[in-house]
Amino acid sequence: MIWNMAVRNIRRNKRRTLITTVGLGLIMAVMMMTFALQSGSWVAMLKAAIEGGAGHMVVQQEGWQTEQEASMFFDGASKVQSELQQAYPDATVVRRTLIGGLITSANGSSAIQLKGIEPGPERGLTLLDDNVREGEWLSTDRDIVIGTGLARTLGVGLGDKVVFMAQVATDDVESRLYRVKGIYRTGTDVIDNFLAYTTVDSTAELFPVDDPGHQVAVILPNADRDDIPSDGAARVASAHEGLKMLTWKEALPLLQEQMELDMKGSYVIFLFMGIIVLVGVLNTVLMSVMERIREFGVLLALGMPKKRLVRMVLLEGLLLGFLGGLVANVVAFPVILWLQEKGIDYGDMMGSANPLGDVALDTVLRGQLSAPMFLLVPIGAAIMALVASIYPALKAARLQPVEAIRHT
Amino acid sequence: MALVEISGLSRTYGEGDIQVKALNGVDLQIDKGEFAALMGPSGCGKSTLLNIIGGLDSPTAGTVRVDGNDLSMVDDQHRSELRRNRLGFVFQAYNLIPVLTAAENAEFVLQLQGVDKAERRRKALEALASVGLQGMEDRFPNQLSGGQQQRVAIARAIAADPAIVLADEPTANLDSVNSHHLIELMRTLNRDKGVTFLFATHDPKLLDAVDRTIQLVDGTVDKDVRRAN
Ligand SMILES: Nc1ncnc2c1ncn2[C@@H]1O[C@H](COP(=O)(O)OP(=O)(O)OP(=O)(O)O)[C@@H](O)[C@H]1O
Ligand SMILES: [Mg+2]
Repeated sequence: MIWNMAVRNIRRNKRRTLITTVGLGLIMAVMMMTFALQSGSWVAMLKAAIEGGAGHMVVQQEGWQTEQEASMFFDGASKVQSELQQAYPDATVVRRTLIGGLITSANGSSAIQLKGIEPGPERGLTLLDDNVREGEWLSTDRDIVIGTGLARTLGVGLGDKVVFMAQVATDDVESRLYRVKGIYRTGTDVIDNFLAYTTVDSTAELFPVDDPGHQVAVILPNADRDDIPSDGAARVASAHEGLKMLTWKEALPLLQEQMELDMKGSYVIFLFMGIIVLVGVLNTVLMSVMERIREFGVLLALGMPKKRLVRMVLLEGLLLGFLGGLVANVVAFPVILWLQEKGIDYGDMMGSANPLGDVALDTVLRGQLSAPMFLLVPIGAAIMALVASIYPALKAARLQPVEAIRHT
Repeated sequence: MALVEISGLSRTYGEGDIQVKALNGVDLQIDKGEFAALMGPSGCGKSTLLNIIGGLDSPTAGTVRVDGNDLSMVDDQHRSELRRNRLGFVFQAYNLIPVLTAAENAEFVLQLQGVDKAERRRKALEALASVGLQGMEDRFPNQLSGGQQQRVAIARAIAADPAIVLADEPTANLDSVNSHHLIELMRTLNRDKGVTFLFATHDPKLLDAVDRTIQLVDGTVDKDVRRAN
C-alpha cells in the first residue's frame, strides 16, 4: 500500500517530478561524463606511458632511470632480451638505447636525444608511427625519423642526409650517417623538436661494445596494471651484474601517484553530486509534504501508524532520487559510449603540455565506460534522496491530526 | 456499559491570560446503536468533544472511556490503534486520499488493520454498495461529486465495523439535496446495520433526523433531548 501510494504521489505532480528528476539527472549525467573522460585520459596515459615509454617491466643499469646517461649502457642486451623472452613467451621484449648528441645537416644542427628502438615490435606500441606525416616509419639501419620541429631546424626533408655525433664512453666522438625516412608530428614540443628515432642496431656503432643496450623492456599482452608478474624479470636482471628490474610503477612513480591523487579528487565530484541530489530532493519532498498537511492529518486520524507515514515519505524521496539516477544513466550512457568510440580530438591544443614529457600521447581524449558507475549512480542518488527525505518525513509524522485537518 | 462514558471532562486551550475553556465539566454517555448529534452555537465545543471521544485530542481533566478504553490513560500510539480498530471518522470535507480510488479509500482502514486482500476488497465493495456507489469503485476522488465523496467517506468509516462513527459537520459542504440523501443513508445504516453515529452539526435537517440532540453551551451540556424518530 505504501509503495502504491508513494508511486502515485510521485506521479501526482508530474511537472514537479519531471523537473526534479530531469534536473538532477542532467547534473549527474554531466558529472558521470566528466568522470568517464577523466578515467579515460588516465587509461590512455598509462597505456602510452607503459607501452610507449617504459613497458610493464624494464631491465636496465641501476640508476639509469634517473640519470639516463648514455654511458650507463650494458653489454649483452640481446642475451638479456632472449632470457626475458623465455621467461615471458607471450610478451613483446625490446631493446632500447638513448643517446644525447648533436645532429647536423647541410643547413643546420641541433642537440637531440636519439632513441634506438626495434622498429618492428615497437611499431605497434608507440603511437609515433601513426603520427608520421611525411615519408615512412623506420625500416633499415640507415633510417632516422625526426619531428617536424627538428626538420625545420635542420632544414631537411625526406631522403636528406644527417649526421649524428655523440660521445658515449671513451673520449672519442663517434658519428653515424642517416637518411631522413619520415617526419612526424605529435603536437608535443619536446618530441617534435628534440627527439629522433632510429634502429637500436644502428646505434651500436656508437658504443665501444658489440651488443649494447640501455634498457630491455617487457610489454605484456593482457597485463593487469596493478599486478605485474615481475618475478621472472627480476631473476633475469639479478643474473647480470649491475642490472636491475623495475616495474612500471617504479619506473614511473610520479605518474602512478598523480593518477591516484587525481582519481581520489574525482570522488569529490561524486560527493558534490550527492549534495545536489540532497538539496534537490529535500526541496521537492518538503514542498510536497507541506502541500499535503491536511491529507496527512486524515491519514493519521484514520489510525495510520506514524512509522508508515514516515516510510511513505521516505519512499517518495527515494524514488525521486532513483528516477533522477536513471535519467542520468539514460543521458550519460550514449554520450559516454560515443566518447569511448570516437573521443574528442584535442590535437593541436596540446603543445608543450604533454604530462608524459617525451612519450607520444594519443591526441584523442576518450571516455572510459565503467559499468559499476551506472549501477552506483542510481543507487547512490536513491540513498542520498532517502537521507534528504528524513527531515520532511519526520515533519509529516510530527503533525497533530486535529490541527492538520483544520489546516488550509 | 455505555459505549462512550464521559465524566467531568474539561479541555482548556492555551496558557495564562489567553486560556480558552473549550469544554468545562461535560458528563455524557452514548450507547451502542445511537444516532445522536452534538449541537450548539459556534465555539461551544462540539468539535473539541468529538475529537476527544475520537482519541484525536486529549482532555485536560476528567475521564473518557470509549469502548472500554480509558483514553486519558493511553499514549499516542494506543490512541492511533484505537482509532484504526474501533472508530470511524467522517470529516467536513476533503476526507478522501486523492491518490486512492473509491474502493481503495474504503479499503484503507481495513488494510491498516492487516485484513487480507480478498476479505478487505469484499468488505470495501459491500460498504460502497451500501452507500449506493456500485460501479464507481475505480473512480478517483476528483472524479466524484462532493456528495459521492462524502458517501465514500462513510463507506470507509463503516467498512471495518467500528464501535462508533464520529462525524463532524458531514453535511456542511453539501447542497440540500445531497445532504438529504446522505442523512437518509446514515439513518438507514443505523437502523438496518446498527451503526452507531455521533455527529457535531448545525444542520437543521440532520438535527431533525437524529434520535437525540445534545445541546452544548460554553463547554457544558445544557440540554440532552431524546426522541423517537
Ligand atoms: N487548538 C485550539 N487552540 C485554541 N483554542 C481552540 C483550539 N481548538 C478550539 N479552540 C477553541 O475552543 C472553543 C471550542 O471550539 P470548537 O471547535 O470545539 O467549537 P465548535 O463547537 O466545533 O464550533 P463550530 O460550530 O464553529 O465548529 C472555541 O472557542 C475555539 O476557539
Ligand atoms: Mg466544529
